[in-house]
Amino acid sequence: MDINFDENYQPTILIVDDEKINIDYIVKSFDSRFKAKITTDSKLVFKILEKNKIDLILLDIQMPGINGFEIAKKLKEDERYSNIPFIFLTSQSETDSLVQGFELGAIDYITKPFNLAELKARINTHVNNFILQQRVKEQQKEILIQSKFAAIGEMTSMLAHQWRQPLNIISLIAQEITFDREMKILSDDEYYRKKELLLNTLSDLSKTIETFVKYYKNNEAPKDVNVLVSLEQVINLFNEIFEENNIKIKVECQDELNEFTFKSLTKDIKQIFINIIQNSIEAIIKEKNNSDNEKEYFINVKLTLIEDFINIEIKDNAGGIDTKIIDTVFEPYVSTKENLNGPGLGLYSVKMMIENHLNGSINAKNTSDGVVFTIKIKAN
Amino acid sequence: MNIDINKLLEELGETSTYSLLNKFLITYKDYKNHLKVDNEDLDKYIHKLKGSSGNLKINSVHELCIDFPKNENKSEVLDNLIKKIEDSFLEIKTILKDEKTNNEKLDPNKIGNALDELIFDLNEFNYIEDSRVKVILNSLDGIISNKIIDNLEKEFANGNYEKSTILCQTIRSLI
Repeated sequence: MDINFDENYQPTILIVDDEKINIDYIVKSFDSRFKAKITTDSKLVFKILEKNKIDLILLDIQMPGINGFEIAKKLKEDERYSNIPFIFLTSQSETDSLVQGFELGAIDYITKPFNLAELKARINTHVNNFILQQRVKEQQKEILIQSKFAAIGEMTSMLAHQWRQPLNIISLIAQEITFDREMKILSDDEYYRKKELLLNTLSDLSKTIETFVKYYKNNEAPKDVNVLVSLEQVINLFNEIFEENNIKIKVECQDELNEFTFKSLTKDIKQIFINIIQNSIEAIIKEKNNSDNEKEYFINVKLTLIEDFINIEIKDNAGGIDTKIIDTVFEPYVSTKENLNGPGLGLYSVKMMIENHLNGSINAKNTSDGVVFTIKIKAN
Repeated sequence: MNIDINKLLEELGETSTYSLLNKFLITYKDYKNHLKVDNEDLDKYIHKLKGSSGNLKINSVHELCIDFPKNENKSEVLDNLIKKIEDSFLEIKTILKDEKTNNEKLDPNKIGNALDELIFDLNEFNYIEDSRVKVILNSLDGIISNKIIDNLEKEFANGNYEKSTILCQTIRSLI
C-alpha cells in the first residue's frame, strides 16, 4: 500500500515480549519511519500507553506476570485504548489458541520464528491501515463539526424568519397605542385588547425560543423516540415558511407507527427531518422564483413499518436534484443548493447520523417532477 | 553447522547479525542452570529458547526445543540440548571473531550527558540500540567498577529498563 504520510509523523509501535532478543530481532524489520517503544515487563504496558500515542502493539502471548491474552482483554475493556490494533506474536505450538486471540480483538498474528520480510510487510500494512482509519475518523469529526455550524446558521435564519412577523405586530401595536393616546382616542377596551395582543405575541416569541433551545440542548441520552411526534415537532418549526410560500405538507403514517417508539437520540431524527425538509423548501422556493405558473408545491412524508425497519419517504415536486450530482449527493461538500452557496454538508451529516447512530440507510431518487428520499431505520 | 549464518546475514546484514548473536550469548549465558529436569520453569525457558534460536537460525537448538514437549525422555533431550547450545556458543564466538570489536569511547566530558540521555530514553521506554550502550560502557571502563558495568550490560541485554535506569542513575552519581 502506497500512502503519503505526513512527513513529520512517526508511527509508534509498542513491542511487548519478555525476551529482549526477540524485540531486537523485530526492530530490525522496522521501516526507519517507525518509532519503537518496548518493554519486557508486561505489567508496564498500560503505563506506556498512558504516556504515549501508540499506533500498533506487537504482543507476545506467553509472558510471566500478565500474559498477552490478559493484556488484550484489558485493552478492549478500556475505551482509551480499545481501538489500538494489536498483533499477537506466537509460536507454532500456540496456534490452537489463536481463535481466542482473534476473539479478543487481535487483527493478526505472527508466528515465531519470524520471517523478517513477512514481519515487515504485515507491520507496514497494519500501521498504514490504522493511520488511514484514524484520518478518516478525524475528517468525519471535522466535517460533522462544520455541519453542526452550518445547521446552527440555518436554524438561526429560521428563528429570525419566525420572529419577523411577531416583531412587526409588536411594533405596530406600539405605534397604534402611541398614536391613539396622542389623539386621545384610546379607550379602555381598546387599550386592554392591544395589551392582550401584545402579551400573546410576546408569548409566541418566547415559545419559539424555547423550541429552538430545546432542540439544541446537548448531553441528551438516548430515549424512546416516536418518529411521528419528532416529525410533527419539526414541521411546527417550519409552519410559517410553509404558509408564506404556500407549500402543502402532508404526513401519512401507518397506524402501527402512531404509538411506536425506538431507542435513539431525538436530536438525530429531528436533524435528519430538518435537513431534508429544508432542502425541499429551498428547492421549491428556487423553482417558484424561476417559473410563472401557479403550480401547487408539496412535501409529502410517508411513514411505514416494514419488518424491522421504519421506512420514511420524503417526497417533493420541486424539479429534482441535478442528475450530475445525484449519485454523489451524500458525499461531503456536495451542495444541492443554488450557486453552491450551501456548505454541502447537510445530506452528508444526515447519512452519517442514519448509518452510525440509527443503523439505517438513506437513498435519493429523482421522480417525474421532484425527488424522493427514502430512509430506513432499524426499529429495534 | 548449527547456525545458518548465510541466511541470517542475508536477512539482517552484518551489524545486526553480530549484535544479535552476541546478545544470544549474554541472554543464555546461564543455560546449564536452567536446563535441568527439576527446574519448575523449564518449559517456559525452553519456550523462549525455541523462539530466539528460531529467529537467529540456530536450527539444531530450535529443533530440539520443538521436540522437547513431545519427547518423553526429557533427560536425553536436555543433554542433547546442552550439547547443541555449547556447540552453538563456540560457533557464535568463532563468527564474532571476524567482527570488529567496538572499542569506541566517548570524550570523558560527554559521558554525563550520554548517561542523562540514556536515562531519559529508558524512562520513555524507547528502543535503544546496543551499540549506543556499548560505547557508554566502553567509556566507563576504568572509571566505574567492572561489576556495575557488567550488571548494566546484563540488565540492558535482558531488556530490564527499570533496573538499567537505577544502575545508570547510580553511575551518574558516581562520576
